[in-house]
This record gives sequence, structure tokens and C-alpha cells, in this order.
Amino acid sequence: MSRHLPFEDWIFADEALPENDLRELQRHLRDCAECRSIDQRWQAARQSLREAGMQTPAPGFTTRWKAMATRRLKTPGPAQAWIFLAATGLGSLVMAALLAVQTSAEGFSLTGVFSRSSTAVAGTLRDWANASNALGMVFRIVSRSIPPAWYLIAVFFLSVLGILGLLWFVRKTREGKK
Amino acid sequence: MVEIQKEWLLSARKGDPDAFGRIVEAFQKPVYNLCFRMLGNSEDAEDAAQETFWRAFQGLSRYDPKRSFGTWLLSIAAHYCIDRLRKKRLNLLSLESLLPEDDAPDPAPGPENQTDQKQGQAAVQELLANLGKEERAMIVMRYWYDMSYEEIGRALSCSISAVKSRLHRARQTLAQRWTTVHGPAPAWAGERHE
Ligand SMILES: [Zn+2]
Repeated sequence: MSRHLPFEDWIFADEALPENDLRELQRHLRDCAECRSIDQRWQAARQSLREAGMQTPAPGFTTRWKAMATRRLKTPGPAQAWIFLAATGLGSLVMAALLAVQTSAEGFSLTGVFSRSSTAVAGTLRDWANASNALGMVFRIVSRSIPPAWYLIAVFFLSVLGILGLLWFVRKTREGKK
Repeated sequence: MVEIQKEWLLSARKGDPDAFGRIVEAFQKPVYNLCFRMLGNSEDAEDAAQETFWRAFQGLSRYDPKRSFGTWLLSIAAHYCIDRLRKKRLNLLSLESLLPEDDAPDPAPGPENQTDQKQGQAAVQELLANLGKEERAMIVMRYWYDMSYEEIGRALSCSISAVKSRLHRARQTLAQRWTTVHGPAPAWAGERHE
């Protein structure tokens, strides 16, 4: 055991030492230069911590906090954003599906890529419609009653809405974090 | 430390930032000071203190009224600062950034004392910068807020024995580093007045 023990522990003890221990420590500090140096440095360091006082924020801290909190409260949470994106996404899918049903049923052909890509969707949808006839009927009736051009307009509109919504959400989130 | 009034808490729990503003007003100083001691500059301290109050506002339902509200806030602040330091790896603080130009220290010192005070504050921050994040938080809680070992343990999610041993190590480090910061300890420091 080190000859500096338990004095080293006593030097750093936070609570006041019992009188006997204190006397023993003082005797050791007189004889031991090493412990004396540690003790002096710790006393000085502790004193500087005690005297440092409290730092205060710049004036207007509460006003700044309230402004920040109000801004953040107005910012849509991630849940709201996901609901919005899911709604526009679902809207686009329904539109695409309706168009696909119409295309396959009437042999209507839009030019190029759009028509080819919708065939796959149409295939899946036909299977699904066979399995659930009632729903399929409703779907076909609805799809036939809407002119094809409207689908394009609706899909375009939903896409723009989705992009705008995404941009708005990103901007709001950034503002809120400031 | 300041204690909270029940009515403030009740109205703040309804989600009104104005009601919570009274709490911010009352606790801004202790929270800001802890952030400043942890992060070492006024800009980061302001950010961290603002964020602490935001998190407290959002998590007010998790506050247990049987415990001290001030200690709960300091716990949020300490966790946030430790996290921030971990992310930034900001372990060494530069001397220039230690003191704010536009911040008014409290109580306002006279011009002749300002340089001394600045140097003293810078030395304290330099001393604290020698400690690890958790140990720094423990020292600040102990010497600025007189928190008990138990309170510190609860605030930083560790056992009382861990707090004791880490504080002991932190004090050793501070004593060792004192000379590099200040030169030899003054003669008066040798006289123990318990
Ligand atoms: Zn010794």
C-alpha cells in the first residue's frame, strides 16, 4: 500500500474530515512534499471553480426561445409530411390503375413508353379484378366514364402537388431548426 | 436553485410556449451556465440552452413532480451537451472563443476587473477542458450547483459509486493540470480550512 494512502483520498474528499483524520492529514502534509503539492493545487483549483460564478445568456434569451418555439410548433411534424406524401402517392396510383384498366379494356393505346409500362399494371389489375368482381366492376365503370386526357391532367397535377409539398416540407423543416 | 411553481407547470403542459416562457425566464441562468461550462463558448451555450428548453417543453409529460425541476432541466442540458461534444469531438477549447464579447457576465464587473475576470474565466474553462465529457458534467453539477452524488447519478444515469470514483479522478486531473494552467499554486492554498 502506498504511503500516501489514505491521505490522497482525504485530500480529495468533498465532505469535511473528522477531526482526528484532519489532524493526521495535516501532519502528513507537513512531512510529505508530494502530497502537500497535490493538496495545494487541488485547493487552488477548487477555489477557482467556486469563484467562477454563473455565466448568463445575452439579454432577450426568453424572447428568442419563444420565437423559436412558435416557429417550430408551426412546422409540420414528420407524421404530417408522410400522410401528405402517402395521399398524393396513393392518388397517383389510383389514377394510373384506372387508366390501365381503360387502356386494356378498350384497346386504347397511348403512345410509346406510357402504354407499355401500363400493360404490366393492367395485367395485375385484371387478375385482381377477376378475383374481386364487385370491386372490379365499379373500377371499370368509373374508369370508362372518364376521358383519357383527364387522367394525364390528374396525374400531372398530383405529381406537381407532390413535388411542391415535398419542397414546402423541406423548407419548413429547415426554418424550424434554425 | 430556483424552484418551479405548480401553476406554471400546469399551463405549460397544455403546450402553450408563452406559459413555458416563465419557466425559461426563471431557469435560463443555471441552464445556460451549465451549457457554457460544458461547451466553452457563448454561441454553442446559447444554442444548447435553447435546445434544452425546447426538449423540456416537448417532454414535459415525462417530468416527475416529486423531483426537482431544476435538476431535471440540468440533466437534459448535460445529456444534450455530452451528445453534442461527442458529435463534434470538440474536446479542446480555444482560448479566444471562451468569452463572449457581447454577453454581460453577472454581476457586471468594473472595467478594471474585466481583464482579470476574463482571464479567470478562461483559466477555469481551460481547466475543465482537461476533463472528459461526463466528468466535466459531474464537476460542474457538483461545484456550481452543489448537487449530491445521488442527484448527479440520477441526472447522468449512473450509479452513486460511479459518480464518486469519477469525481475523484476528475479532481486528481484538475489538481494535476492546475500548474500547467496557473503555474505553482499560491501559498495560501496550502492552508486547509474545512
Ligand atoms: Zn504523501
